[in-house]
Amino acid sequence: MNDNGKILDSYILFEVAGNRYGLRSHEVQHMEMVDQITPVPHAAPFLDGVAFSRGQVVPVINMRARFGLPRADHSLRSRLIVVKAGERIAALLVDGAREFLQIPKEAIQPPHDAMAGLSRKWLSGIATVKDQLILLLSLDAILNIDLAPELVEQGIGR
Amino acid sequence: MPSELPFEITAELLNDFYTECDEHLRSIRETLASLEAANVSSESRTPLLEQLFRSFHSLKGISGIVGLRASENLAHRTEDYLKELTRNPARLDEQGLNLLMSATQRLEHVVAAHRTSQPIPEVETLSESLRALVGSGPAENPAKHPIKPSLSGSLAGKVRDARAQGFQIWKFVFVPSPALDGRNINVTSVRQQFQQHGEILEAKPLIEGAGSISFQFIVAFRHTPSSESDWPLEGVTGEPLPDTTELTPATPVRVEPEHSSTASTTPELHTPFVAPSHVVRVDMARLDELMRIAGEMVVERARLEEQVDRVLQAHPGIDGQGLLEVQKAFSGHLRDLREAIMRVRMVPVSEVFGRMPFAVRDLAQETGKSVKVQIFGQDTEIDKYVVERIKDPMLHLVRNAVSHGMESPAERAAQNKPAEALITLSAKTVGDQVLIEIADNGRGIDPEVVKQKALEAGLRIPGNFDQAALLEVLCTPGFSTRDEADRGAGRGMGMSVVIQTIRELGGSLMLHTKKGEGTRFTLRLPLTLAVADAMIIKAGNQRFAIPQAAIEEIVPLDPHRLQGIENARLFLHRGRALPIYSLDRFLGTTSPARSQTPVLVMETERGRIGLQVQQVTGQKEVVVRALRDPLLQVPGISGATELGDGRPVLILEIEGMLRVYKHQENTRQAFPKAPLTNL
Repeated sequence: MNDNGKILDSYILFEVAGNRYGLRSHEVQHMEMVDQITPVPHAAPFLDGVAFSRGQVVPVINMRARFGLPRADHSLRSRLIVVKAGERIAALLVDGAREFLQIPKEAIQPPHDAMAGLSRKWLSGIATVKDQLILLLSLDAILNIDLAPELVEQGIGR
Repeated sequence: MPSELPFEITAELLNDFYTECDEHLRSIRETLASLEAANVSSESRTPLLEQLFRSFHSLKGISGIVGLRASENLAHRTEDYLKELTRNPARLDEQGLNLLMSATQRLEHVVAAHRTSQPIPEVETLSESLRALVGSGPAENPAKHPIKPSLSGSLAGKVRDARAQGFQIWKFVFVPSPALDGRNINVTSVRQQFQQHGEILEAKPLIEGAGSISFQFIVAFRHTPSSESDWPLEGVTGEPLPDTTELTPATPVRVEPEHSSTASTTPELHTPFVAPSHVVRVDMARLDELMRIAGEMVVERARLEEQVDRVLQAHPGIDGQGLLEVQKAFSGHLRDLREAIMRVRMVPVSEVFGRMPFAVRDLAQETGKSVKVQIFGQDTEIDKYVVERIKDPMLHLVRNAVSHGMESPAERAAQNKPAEALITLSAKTVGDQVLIEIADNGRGIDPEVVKQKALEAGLRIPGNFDQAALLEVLCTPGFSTRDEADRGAGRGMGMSVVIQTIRELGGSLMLHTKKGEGTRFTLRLPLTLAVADAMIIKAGNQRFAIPQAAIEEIVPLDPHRLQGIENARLFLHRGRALPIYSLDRFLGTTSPARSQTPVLVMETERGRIGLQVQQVTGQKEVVVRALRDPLLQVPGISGATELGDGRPVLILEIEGMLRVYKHQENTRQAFPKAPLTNL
């Protein structure tokens, strides 16, 4: 996509525990209100359970728990972001799903070692838009069951 | 009823009769649908007409055997009409097709009424209409009477000729009724009266809405009928035919070939020899039994594999090669068997599609719209269970399309659309799914209107109101953009039930609509279904499903009868002490305390055990949805299902659960924190 010669990619933005994150929009199937989630015993701790999404049974990943944060009650703004990676479909439970944004490639820097406390493994990049930071996530990492939850330093992006 | 039958009507004979009727009627419906869609050439029509003739001929025969006179007579009349048509396929017009469909429906009602011991609906009116069609045509009586004009050719031609010869042309409509019938005033008597005083140029039935029939006669009189004896007055209204020879509006002009006065020498209808059917009729219950046994064999095969492994490991010196080979071969055969049984359950989707043209026709006539149905992929096969469940939802979608989705012919004309709207039904197999599409070229759904209605109803609308969001709003229980009393699309099935049923089958529904252009619903359904009988139970106030086959018995337990200590509780059952496990402990839940709790006695690899649950809520046949995602591979959970409310219900599996219990004992953890993916 071009706008004045720049290369733009589209992202879906959402919020988890006060931080703003983004996912490539082609990875997102749709977004839903949080409805019925059935807990699954003895599953990964960041899994809230399973839900039906358009006729399919999908795992619900609690993004707070994924990042090692304590869970919070659902609010009216909580959303399920249904994502697709290859054959896998999953739902990410987030505090709020905000908007659809086109971000120019030049506004994105790769995550680098100097950023203390950041869990680089979750991120595919960091975007700066209007003096605000947006953490761009790697969906494969989020869905990787072998990756244990780890703290993402709070305060980034505020 | 019949006392003149040579033999006794047994219940078995009647069952066979009903089954055969069902088959013939199904074949008739399919053939009629093809006939409607076929073009009007004789080559296309003749084989279909012959097929119909054979079917009605058979129906007549078997009805006679069991003494069901109503269906025998109606089938006979239809058979006669079809015989005419096979000689002259071009004679079949819109009215004739309508009549065939009405006759089919009436036959279905008659058989159904007989089956349920209800009063048999009358068939005389339809029979008469059919007889009228067989008889109408060029003058039955040779043109000898001076009051009868000599005519030939099409109706318009006849009217012209008659007028040229000084006759007056009148149009009459006779509406039959049970009251008139009681006084022997019916279409036959009316016709006879006309024939006495004039020449009938045309006699045909008019199918009004709601299945009532009236008859139209175009009659030529030498003199203006004036006195009451000239024409039958009762139930008849008449008027002179205008000079513009305007026939009944919205009737396609009948194309009648020129008949010469000499009798045409058409060959006698030759009923070809029908080969004995290679089809076997099977009771669904027997198929379900086969499926169940195959399912259990799969479970046993897995156990066998484990046992073989165990034995071989315990005795390393043994050459287990032969054993392993046999096991592998056995697994292969078992897989083939399961697939073959699944295929037996497949039926063509025409079973569902077959009913649609009828429903559309009725509804279109009721609502004054002009609709045509096209069907593609009738032979696509789908699981019988799915077919049974999907019939009503599809009927609802099709009815919706006609009653809400179609504009009236006037509206369509104003938009430069063809007056006849089109509904397309298609089915095809894609991978392991069946895709069914219901599309129309009507007015489409206006997202703005729906959005507005939704906001007014207090529903939450996502910012991006796309087609998927539109569908979800439409499927919200209780949501409706029309009065709920809408007869066309109502009858207790709303969109929410439609999507629920589809989801319960493991399928999905998609909507694509454009305002002014039309709407398309796409149903995706799994090709084969894993269906299991499950016991629905509760623990910690949550519902779970356990395969029925795994449960031997359910006994109520008085907690005081438990012996032993916390981690090794036993209870006495049929003289034996069985270990008892609490489902709460597996789940990490707490159930409300009760004086008695149910215990499921289950046979496992480790012997018989008891599983204590909060409550048993009932039995249900459920569709098993596999949990494929790696995140969902947890011990004790073998799948998920849905019980109709959109909430996933987990299906429990006892062997995995026992491994968890053991792990809990070993690690002394009440509820282990780590995911137990290595169990």
